[in-house]
Amino acid sequence: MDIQLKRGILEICVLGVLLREESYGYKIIKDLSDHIEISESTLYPILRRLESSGALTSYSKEHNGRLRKYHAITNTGRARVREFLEEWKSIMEVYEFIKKESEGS
Amino acid sequence: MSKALFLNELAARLSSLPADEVQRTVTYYSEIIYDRIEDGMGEEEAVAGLGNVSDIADQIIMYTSLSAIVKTRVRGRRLSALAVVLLIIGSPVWLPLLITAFAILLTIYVVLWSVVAVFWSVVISFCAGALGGMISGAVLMSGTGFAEGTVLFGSALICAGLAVFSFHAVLALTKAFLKFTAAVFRKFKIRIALNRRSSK
Repeated sequence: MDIQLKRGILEICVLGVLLREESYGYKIIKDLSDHIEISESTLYPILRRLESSGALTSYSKEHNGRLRKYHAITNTGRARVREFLEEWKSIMEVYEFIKKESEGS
Repeated sequence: MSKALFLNELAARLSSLPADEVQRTVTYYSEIIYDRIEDGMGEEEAVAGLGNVSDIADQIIMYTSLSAIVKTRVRGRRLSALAVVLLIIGSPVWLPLLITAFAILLTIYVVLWSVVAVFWSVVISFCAGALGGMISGAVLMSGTGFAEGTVLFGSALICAGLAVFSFHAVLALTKAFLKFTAAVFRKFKIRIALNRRSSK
């Protein structure tokens, strides 16, 4: 997959995971690994970008005698997920069209 | 590799970045390793699964803006009084040299792009030739010189064909060149960050 495209999709994936509940790095990776390939070192810049663009907020919470950073989606983040779904609706229509054409030929 | 060793190595490799940036990164990886261990992995396994330290560090340097790296480099370097005096006394020598070096680099870059521009102008002239030839050919054909008009129209069609071919070739060339420029810039960025590490 194209790198830029994959990066964009991964950002939405992370936001998607956070829609249900706030989460932390390791759990985000575990939740996503069934759906898309993502590693710890890929997640880090994504979290940074999402935070600096205001799509999520982060805070530290104590867990087993250490601090763990939790991430929660913001309204900006929710709007981005909605935008993504809208955008891909039209892309999927094109996909269906091309698929039908290629099967017909 | 143990957790402490991994995090130390990571911090050392990131030393060209702003301190808070290094802190954030180390905190992130420390948390991830803890969580992996909590999930049932051994310490070695938890660290090994993260991948190569130098790859991780390079990736983070790539993500950090060049200005942040340069700022940290300049701030981290202390000059002795003698060095400052020498720098000022020597400025008539090194300043023009520096400006020349920049000018040469800029010239090379501009020259490379002008080669691309030349290719594009060939494409444009093919297009213009095709368009002009077709119009004047058609005019001639409908008027007095049918034979000349046909020849003109035909060569205009050849021009159009060449335009299509050359357009794709030049487009590929431009894309390759853009990729090359981006790769050089990336190398340059990592080099600046690495340089700081070795001079420390």
